[in-house]
Amino acid sequence: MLEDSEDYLDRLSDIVSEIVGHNNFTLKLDMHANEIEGWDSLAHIQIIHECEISLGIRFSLEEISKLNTVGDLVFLMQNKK
Amino acid sequence: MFSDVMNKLSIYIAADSVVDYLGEYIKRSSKSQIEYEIGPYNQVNQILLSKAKSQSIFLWTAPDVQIPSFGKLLSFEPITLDSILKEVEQFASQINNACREYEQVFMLSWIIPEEFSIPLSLSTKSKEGPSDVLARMNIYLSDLLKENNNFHLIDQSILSSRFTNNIHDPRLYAMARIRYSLNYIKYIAEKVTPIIKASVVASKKLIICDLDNTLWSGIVGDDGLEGIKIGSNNPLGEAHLQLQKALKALKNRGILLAISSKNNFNVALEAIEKHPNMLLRKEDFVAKKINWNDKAVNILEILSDLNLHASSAVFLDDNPTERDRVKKAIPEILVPELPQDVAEWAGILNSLDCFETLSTSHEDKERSKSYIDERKRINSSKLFGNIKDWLNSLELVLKVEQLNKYNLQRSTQLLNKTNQFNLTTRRMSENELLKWSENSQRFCLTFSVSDRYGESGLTAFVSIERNLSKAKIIDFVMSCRVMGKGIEDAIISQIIKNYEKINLYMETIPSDRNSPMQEFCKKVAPNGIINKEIICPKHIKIIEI
Repeated sequence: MLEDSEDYLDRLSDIVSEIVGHNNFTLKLDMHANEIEGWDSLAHIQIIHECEISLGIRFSLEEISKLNTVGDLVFLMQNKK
Repeated sequence: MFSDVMNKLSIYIAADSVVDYLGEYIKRSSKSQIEYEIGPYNQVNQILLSKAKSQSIFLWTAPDVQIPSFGKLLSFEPITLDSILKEVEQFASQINNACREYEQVFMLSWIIPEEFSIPLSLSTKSKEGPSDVLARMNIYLSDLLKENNNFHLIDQSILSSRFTNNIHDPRLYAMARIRYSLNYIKYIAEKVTPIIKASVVASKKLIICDLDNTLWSGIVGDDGLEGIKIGSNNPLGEAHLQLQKALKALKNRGILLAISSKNNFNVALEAIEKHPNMLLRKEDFVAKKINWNDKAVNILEILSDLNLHASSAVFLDDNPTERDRVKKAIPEILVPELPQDVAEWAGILNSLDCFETLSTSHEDKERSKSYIDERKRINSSKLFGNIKDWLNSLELVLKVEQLNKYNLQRSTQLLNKTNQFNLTTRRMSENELLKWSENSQRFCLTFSVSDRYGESGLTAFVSIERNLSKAKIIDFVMSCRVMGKGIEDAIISQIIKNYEKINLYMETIPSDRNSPMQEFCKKVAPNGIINKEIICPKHIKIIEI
């Protein structure tokens, strides 16, 4: 059972490294996508998709377009029902 | 020698929407056996009319985009079946071109895009309803291309009806113009990968043979008809006859035979027709290039006449020098190494598993004959087989208008959205752009594109700053929707009209997305100064407003 931001951050890290093809990064809540190599707009769509599948949720277009930092995404993952 | 048969598979993906993920999913699904490259967005027609970019090509098109009149039908605009089928014909002729360029051409058949709401009882109305018309379109396309054995129309109707999730994800379209959900793209990749693999492995359809010391022992030009040996209890003659038997068996199950021989035509033909033990006769060969020309040239002519790609052919020749020559000149053709001992050759031919396994139906046996007979070809007078004709057929019109309060919003949007064809990737708000443009030394132009199918809208914006001695282009953005049609050259030709006496500068700020713009700058402004010789392409008409 995922409890806190740290768990979600770990899960997101796994997803991101799977899609960008490396793990030369440590995710922090205040980071932006462009700080991680390979996290371009196409990768972004895949990352969102994997987050949805892994948690059995679905984000709205508005929620996705408002995402700014890693923390925003983690927040969404935690709170979306 | 046999490893030549398992070709490395590389596929070029051409689509009229963003399907980039398809490549990665196909690569994964094939465990990296299939490599891919994604073609430029929405340039399917241009790609089909150009030289091959890869081994095989995969087309994923939506019927409303590729056949614009069908798009109008889906919006219930009045449109005739005839006009729709004419557009299908044009598309088919472009695919026909690609079939000569690529080893294999794969295309997903057309389905009604999920985004459209179709009244189910009206959809099947004969010659009017979308489902009825779409079925006719798919059937017509298939019929037009039925002689192209390397064209594979994959039944997307069956695939999509068995997919249990949403095909269209409206969020993805809003975000990145992706018309299909990631799950659907992944599903398609999984279903087409085995089709792609299967059609490439056993793909040889034609065997081109030499004559002297290949089909018979001896050289007919020197030894004469009586001197060459075929069968007749002569050991070498028997070995060559065995090879002829193996070739005949292959011909019987639909593999085509042709000759490429350095000989006098009449002398060689006489041997083929008159030698008592000759098994293969004149009618067994669909092409006979018997002359003193270079064999590689002859073989290319044979392939062109038969509308076959080099990778579907095998070349048999006893002479290692000739084999080498052909292999180097035409790398895709399979040239088995034939050992010194002729007795082994029939066995080698029989062990090649690269020939298409066909059911030995009557049709296949007749295949050889049908290549010799006149075939019904697409009426070329109506169709556009090259890119110039196709561009002319578009009837492109470029409208030029200065920036004003009505087009400010769309201009700003273009500035902020465009990545690929963007000179400096300068981003501004509406107000910022308005204020910037009010300066008397600055001049902003907007460009709208329309063609015979409709309006693309405002799709390019250029801003220029000048003083007495020189002018410089500050912004140049163009929507990728209108790339590949020469619009950018027309724009430059229009701009230079105002700056005849002074230098016009254009320099790009390279980004990792704007390589199309970098290429364009190298072409029209190689040292930063725009070439004033540039004229408007003939297929574009410019209107100033």
